[in-house]
Amino acid sequence: MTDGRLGASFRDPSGFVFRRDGVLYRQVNASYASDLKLLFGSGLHDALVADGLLIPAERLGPEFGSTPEAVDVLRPEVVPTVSYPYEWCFGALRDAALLTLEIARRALDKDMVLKDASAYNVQFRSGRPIFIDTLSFETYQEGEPWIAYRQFCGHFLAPLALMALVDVRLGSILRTNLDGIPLDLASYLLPGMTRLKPGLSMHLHMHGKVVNQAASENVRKVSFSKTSLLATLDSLRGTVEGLRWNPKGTQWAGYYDETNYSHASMTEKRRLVAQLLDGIAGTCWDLGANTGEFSRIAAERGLDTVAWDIDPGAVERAYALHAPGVLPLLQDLTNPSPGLGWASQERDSLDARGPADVVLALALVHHLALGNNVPLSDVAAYLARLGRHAIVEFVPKEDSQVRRLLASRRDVFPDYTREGFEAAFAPYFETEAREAIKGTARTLYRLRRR
Amino acid sequence: MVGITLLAQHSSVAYLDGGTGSMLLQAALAGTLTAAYFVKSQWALLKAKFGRRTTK
Repeated sequence: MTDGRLGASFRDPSGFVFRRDGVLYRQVNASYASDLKLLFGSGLHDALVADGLLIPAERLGPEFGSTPEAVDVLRPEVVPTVSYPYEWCFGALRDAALLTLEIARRALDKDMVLKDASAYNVQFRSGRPIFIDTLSFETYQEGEPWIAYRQFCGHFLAPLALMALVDVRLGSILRTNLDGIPLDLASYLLPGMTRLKPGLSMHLHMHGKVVNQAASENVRKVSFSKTSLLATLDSLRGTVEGLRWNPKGTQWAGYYDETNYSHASMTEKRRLVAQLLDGIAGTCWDLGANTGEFSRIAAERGLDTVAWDIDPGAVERAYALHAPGVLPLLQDLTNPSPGLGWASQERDSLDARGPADVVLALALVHHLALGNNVPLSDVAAYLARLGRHAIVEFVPKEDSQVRRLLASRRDVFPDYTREGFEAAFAPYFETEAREAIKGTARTLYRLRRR
Repeated sequence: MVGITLLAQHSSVAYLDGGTGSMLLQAALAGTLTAAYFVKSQWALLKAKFGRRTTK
């Protein structure tokens, strides 16, 4: 990770985030001085931190600044793995939305207002959302509507409504719309009956009609009481709370019931994975984690774990468990999150957020190699970019899961053998341990990248 | 009810463009949402009172 200002930190003149000697800091500029004073002086900052809503940050003073505009520098606590809204499941995005509204409400009690409502101001720590932008609070000006209303609707309400009421996979269009889903598009895509729901009718359908209205000076004459602002936040909260999605019948939802693992083999696999994790500390990325069965084993061993999976239903189930130390996220490994935004540097690609101290690739390689035709050596090369260690399961062709994958296609994979697997991984990884899983034809490897 | 007042006022120092349509819509919805909020708060107060009585 290179030093200097972060690629995403350029919009707000109040300050910016930068890295020096690998440590993350947030500079506060002179233009934010009075707001910072109120944020700390009113007790709002400490109360939000104490309640786990806002990321703790240590005040270091202007001498730590990166430019002469600095009036203070904060050193925020760092989350183990940065994640983005297009990687969150429905429940995670909904929780992030409710967190944002709760913070906006509590800020108003102290005469401050959230000046933006970007979903990118939220990260996840210990599996729960936490607000990370300490400079999002500004002094409330009597009479002003909520400047972040449109942003909140585009970043949170529109994707949540589309996911809950049209198709949960529509959450992925946040990846192409980094400043939220256009409200006219959301309104167009939502079922007509949603016009009968007051919250959706007002905040999405009516909003979608006016959102592209030409800029007008009249807007400066609009005045709005504090009670109206609280009422707007309350209406948004009610609308978000009214949106629900429960996974059923998704691709992998019943995966563990359908595998050919006997109870004894599964127990043995759990024991072996725990054993192979011995001595590894830090972060763990469980790739193709399904509902996070093995992620929880890693987390129980003290690793900050991300359970990545392609299936929204599996990720939703994993998230609903709120397992300590596990963050379930959506990821299609055949098309992983790229660098996005301005200069492709605002939102980091998956591998730019790594490497993790260990990646788990359990019952994954056959899906990549046989399901997506990725050569085994390319799988090895990518895993070596994602993790310092890898615990990889090789599932041979005689396994019923692989037979099923090959049932409706020609077997064009002559090198897909245990020997072929070991030869493909050898240039990238050194094998530290190899264990057969009793009762199956599968093998587990603990690998260390070269 | 708290309605819309039209007053000359200080311009926001926020960096975000709130959008003309979004700002005007909030003002247009203010009456409805504030009325709903008021009714909800009163109802919550009543429920709290009722709740206290039944738990005695």
